[in-house]
Amino acid sequence: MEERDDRYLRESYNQARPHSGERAPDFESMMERAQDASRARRHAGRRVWLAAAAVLLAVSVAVFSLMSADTELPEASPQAQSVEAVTDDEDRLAAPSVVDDERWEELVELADELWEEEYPTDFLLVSLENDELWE
Amino acid sequence: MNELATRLESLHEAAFQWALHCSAGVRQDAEDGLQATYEALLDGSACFKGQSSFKSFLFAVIRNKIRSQARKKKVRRLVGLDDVRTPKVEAQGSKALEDAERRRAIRRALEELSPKQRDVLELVFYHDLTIEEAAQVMGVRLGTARTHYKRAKEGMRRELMKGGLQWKSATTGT
Repeated sequence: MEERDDRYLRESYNQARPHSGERAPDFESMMERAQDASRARRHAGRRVWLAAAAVLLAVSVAVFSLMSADTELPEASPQAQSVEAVTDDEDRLAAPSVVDDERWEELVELADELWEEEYPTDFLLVSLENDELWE
Repeated sequence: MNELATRLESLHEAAFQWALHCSAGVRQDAEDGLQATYEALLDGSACFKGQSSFKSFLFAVIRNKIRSQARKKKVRRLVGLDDVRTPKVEAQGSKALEDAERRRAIRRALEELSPKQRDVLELVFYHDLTIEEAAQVMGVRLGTARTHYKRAKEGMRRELMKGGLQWKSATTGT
């Protein structure tokens, strides 16, 4: 009985179902359009990836440049360069450019005097021989 | 690819009918939905994994595509069935008139059903899917689909009985 009811309902539905007169569009042309759209989307996707990679590269370069600029030591000033030149060469006692030669000579002499007063040569020699003093 | 195309071609008419049902008879929406489905299958964004029959998988993709299109268009999925374009009945003689009247009565009965109930009837009655497959297409549990199916049949039977003659003639086998 139920089976017969179901069969009747099914038949009734299939006879009266809405849109039953509509026919599907051509399969081939739909597939062609789908393939074209799919291909276009793939190309668009590839372009988006390329653009994203380019942006990423540009940002990386910019960040790297900024970081390099931060860590670079500033160039030494001319004054500092002169002092370095003097201290690097122990034999050379030329006056730094910031002090004139005459004044420099006075300073050197004064330093010698002070050194000798403070650290007499004998004491210095004894001191150098006595390791304990250095410990 | 060729295998996919062959499968799709064999189901093309049924797929379009299902698309038409899902888009409430709006042909352009049905074509767009079917087109979007084919594109998704070709570019691999919808991939058949053999967890169901290919037909129910295809129908589920169509349904989802049309629903998402409808959401985009902010259009309600189902309009009244009165709005649906139906083939003209060239009534010739009493038999044709009787058939036309019967179809109208069934349409009225279908109008009383919920969209889910109409979906399950379309899938089971017209597309010959099992209730389990219909559940997969509709994205509901099997028990839920069974309930929709049962209530749809009850509703249809009830509405047809209001009409009287058609149902009586069927049950008495005349």
